[in-house]
This record gives sequence, structure tokens and C-alpha cells, in this order.
Amino acid sequence: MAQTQVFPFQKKAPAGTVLLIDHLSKTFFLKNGQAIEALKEIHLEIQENEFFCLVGPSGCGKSTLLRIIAGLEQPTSGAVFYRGERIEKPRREIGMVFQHYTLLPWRNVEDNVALGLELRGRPRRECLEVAHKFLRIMGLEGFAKAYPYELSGGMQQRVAIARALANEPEVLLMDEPFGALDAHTRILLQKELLRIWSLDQPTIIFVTHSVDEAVYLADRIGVMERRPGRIKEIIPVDFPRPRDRALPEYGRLCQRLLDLLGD
Amino acid sequence: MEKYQSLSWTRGTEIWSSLKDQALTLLVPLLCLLAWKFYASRLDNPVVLPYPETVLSIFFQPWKDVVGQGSLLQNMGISLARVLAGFFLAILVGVPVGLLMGYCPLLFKLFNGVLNFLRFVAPLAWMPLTLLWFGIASLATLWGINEGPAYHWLNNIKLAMVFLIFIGAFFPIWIESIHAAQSVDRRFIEAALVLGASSRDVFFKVLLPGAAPHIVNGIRVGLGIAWRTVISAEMIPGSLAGLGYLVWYSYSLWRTEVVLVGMAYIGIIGGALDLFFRWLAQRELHWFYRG
Repeated sequence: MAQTQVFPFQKKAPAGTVLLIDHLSKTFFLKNGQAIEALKEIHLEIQENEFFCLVGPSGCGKSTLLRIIAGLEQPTSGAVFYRGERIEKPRREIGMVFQHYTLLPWRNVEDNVALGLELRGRPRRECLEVAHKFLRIMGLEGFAKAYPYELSGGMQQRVAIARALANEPEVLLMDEPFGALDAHTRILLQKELLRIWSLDQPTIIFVTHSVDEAVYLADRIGVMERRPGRIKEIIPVDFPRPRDRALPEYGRLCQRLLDLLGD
Repeated sequence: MEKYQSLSWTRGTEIWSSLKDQALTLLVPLLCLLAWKFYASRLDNPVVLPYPETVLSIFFQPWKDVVGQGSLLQNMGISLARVLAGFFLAILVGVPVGLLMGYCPLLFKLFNGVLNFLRFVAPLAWMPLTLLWFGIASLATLWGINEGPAYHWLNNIKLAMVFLIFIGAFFPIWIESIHAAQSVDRRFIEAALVLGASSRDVFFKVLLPGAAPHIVNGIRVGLGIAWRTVISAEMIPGSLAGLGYLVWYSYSLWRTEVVLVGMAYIGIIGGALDLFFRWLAQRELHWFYRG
């Protein structure tokens, strides 16, 4: 396993808003005509270099919100702006890591990681160089030629993260990326993610239903409620990283979030 | 010592069981051959039931010209060339049309009605229309070649036959391609879109490779129908070469043993082509079969 030590690091100063989620609502219609308010009046400003976590019960619309930010779905009203530009379709500056890895099974690891650059028409040599750089960062040297079906879930998710990072996004959206992994791998990858984030601190929006995960990772936590999907409260987490799960304030914050979610 | 003995004993049983397996697959053909020999001798009428030894001797000398219409191998080559021409045309049209229809609901609505109705018209029912449209024009006519060694081959690939084979192979390839496109996980497409894929990229880098395993199924079915169609197409009056023609012509001479050899080769070549595609699929699509 790769080294996973997280060093304390200097948090970059916020440099302005990178994403503005402006009074966004999304309504689905069921076959029988019934309207479901998946998201209602979400208003959020995400700062540059921020690690923002969204927690909420399942069905609160947190994945839908992420998909709208990614440009994969359209809101019913309101909009998302990336540096002042309205997001209408996926764009390269906004990358995404899905819960189910979604590696292309017919491509080996390096070709999966190189996909973003390949789509931008970069020469093959450059694609592979960059891919290998990010495979090294993710501790995946030696797996470049392996196929996804030969890897464990944790390894596949590392490749998926490498694939998103190799495209050099400014915002990284992560939709319950560790949700399908066992507890040990999950904690390992949380540390890894913080280590990688500390390198050049891209803006991350991380969706999870684990309160512990949110407290361990985030600068700010948006707590969502369901029906209609709304942001109930935004809680800043100001203790330094790496965070010690044994500290009383860590536990107290987790408990506070659980109480908020339980109401 | 004891261990060594027990090992060699295990190995012995392994060899024995593999021999037994092979013997079992040969059992039924051997029994058939015996029954054939028995009834052929009792009947003693080679036109109705030729002797196995005559059939086998022709079978194992496919380079011989038995009925004055070229050797078995030559006729095989001509049939194969016709099939491949129509078959590749069917892939070239069927796969993209099917994939696009499976991916884009609008295209599906536009074309599904017509094509689904045409699907039930057997290739041979197209024969009269095909003859009226293409007559006896061949690839040689199409490319304006009138002599030389290429002429012999190209002139035997009649456009009418290629069209019939195309009709036969097209529908299974097209239908499986629709299902194949629909079976590609939407999440793969989204993953590519998020990385910056255009519609063209989605088609060539996600839809086509992701659908390949199911397309191969359609191609295998299409090939089977193409091969059967060429044999029937060669039995029409005016056809001058090919395995189907050879079978029909030998029948008119009452050379039943040649008819049987022709039938055997038709089956063997069809099976071999299918085996080739299965082998290719297993090798190229390992991620699908082992994943």
C-alpha cells in the first residue's frame, strides 16, 4: 500500500468565489404527474481552494445537485455559475469522480487515466506521460497495464481519481466516492485524498452520507435535509489537519451533525 | 516413493478421462457412419444413398474437378467471396445505423417502423426485385473490368447475390447493434462527457467499444444467415459457380455423392467462420468475458 501519511499543511487563503449556486431548484415529475421537489432554493458560494462537503440523508438531492454543477442535468430554475459563466453542459475545468468508479472496462489503467488529455487531442506520448505522473501520485505504479476488472474496488477508485486529476480540473466534484468501499480502504483513501489535495488544493465538493467523513475532510460542511432538498445549515470546521478522530471536539461536531440530520 | 506413485496414478486417470471425453464426442458420428455404411450396402443404390467411402474419397480430395464445374475449393472460394462482400456491407451499414438508433430515441422513432417491417421479408423473397434491379451485373461490371484473372472472380460476384446476402445479414446485425447501444452503461457516457467528450468522441470512444460484445453476437448470427442465403441464391437459374450451385448441378447429374460432399463443406465452412469470430471476440473482448 502506498504511504498515506498526511503532513500538516498551510491552507491557501481563499481567493474568491469559484462556484456560485444561485437559487437553484430542481423538480422531477413522476409518471403519474406528481411533482417531486428534489432541490429547493439552494444558494451556495464555494470559495477557491475550498474543501466543501455535502452531507444528508439519501434522497435529499445531494447527488442531483452535484450532477447539475457538473452540467449533466439542467435545473428547473436558478443556475450555477463557474467564475461568472453559466454552466449548461459539462466543461473541462470541472471534473467528477463517481461512486461507481465508471472506468471504461475496455481500456487499461493508463488509457483510462489518459482519456481526458486524449479527448483534447494531445499527442499520445504526452497523454501517457501525464497519466503516469498521476498514477505515481495515486500510488499506482506498476498497474498501468492492468485492466479495471483485475483491480479491487479501492484500486479502481484510485484510478478514477487519477483520471479526474490528470484532466487538471479547477473544481473536483466527488459523488460518494468511497461509499462502496470497506471501512479500512475508506479511511486510507480519505488520508490519500487529503494528501493529494494539499499538493495544489483544487476546489473540491464532496458528497457523502458519512458524518465522520465530512468532519475529517471538510473546510465547511453543508447539511442537507430532504423533501424538499434544502441546505439546512452550513458548518465551518476549523481544527487543523490531519484531524484526530479521538479529540473530544471531533466527536462533539460529529454528534452535532447527527442531531441536525436526525431532526 | 508412495507419493510419486500416487501422483502418477492421478495423472493416469486424468489422461484416461480426457480420452473418454474425446471418445464420447466421436461416438455418435461413428455410429452414424456405421449405420450409413450398413444401409448403403443393403440398399445398393448410390443415387438414393451413396457409399460412405465414395463420399469420403471426394471429401478428402477437394482440389479435384469432379463434375466438370471447377474443383470444390474453387467453388468454395467463390461462395466465400460473395458472402464476405455482402456481409461486410451489412456490418458497414448495420452497426452505425443500429448504434445511432439505440443511442438517439429520435432516430429510433424515425426508422424503427420501416426497418422492423422489412425485417420479416425473407432474403429470398427479394429475389425477383433484386434480379429486376441488378440483372446479371457483377462487381466486374461495376468496376469496368473485362478481362484478366481478376475478371473471373469479380464476374462471379453478382450484385444481385451481394444484395441478397446483405439483406440477410443486415437485420440481425442492425437489431443487435440497437440493443448493444442501449446496453452501454449511461454512466460510462457521463464519465466521458465530464472529461470533455464531444458527441463524436462518445460514439467512437464509448458507444462503439462498449457495445462491441453485443455487436459481435449480431455479427455471428448475421454471418450464419449470410452463408445460408448464398447457398440458396446460388441455386437460382442462371448461377454458374459456388458451393450451392455445385450441389444443385450435381443433383441434376444424379451425382448424390457430390451433393453430400457439398453439404458437408457448407456446414464445415459455416462452423469455421463462426469459430473464428468467437475466437476473435474472446481475444479482443477479454474485459467483457473475464470482467
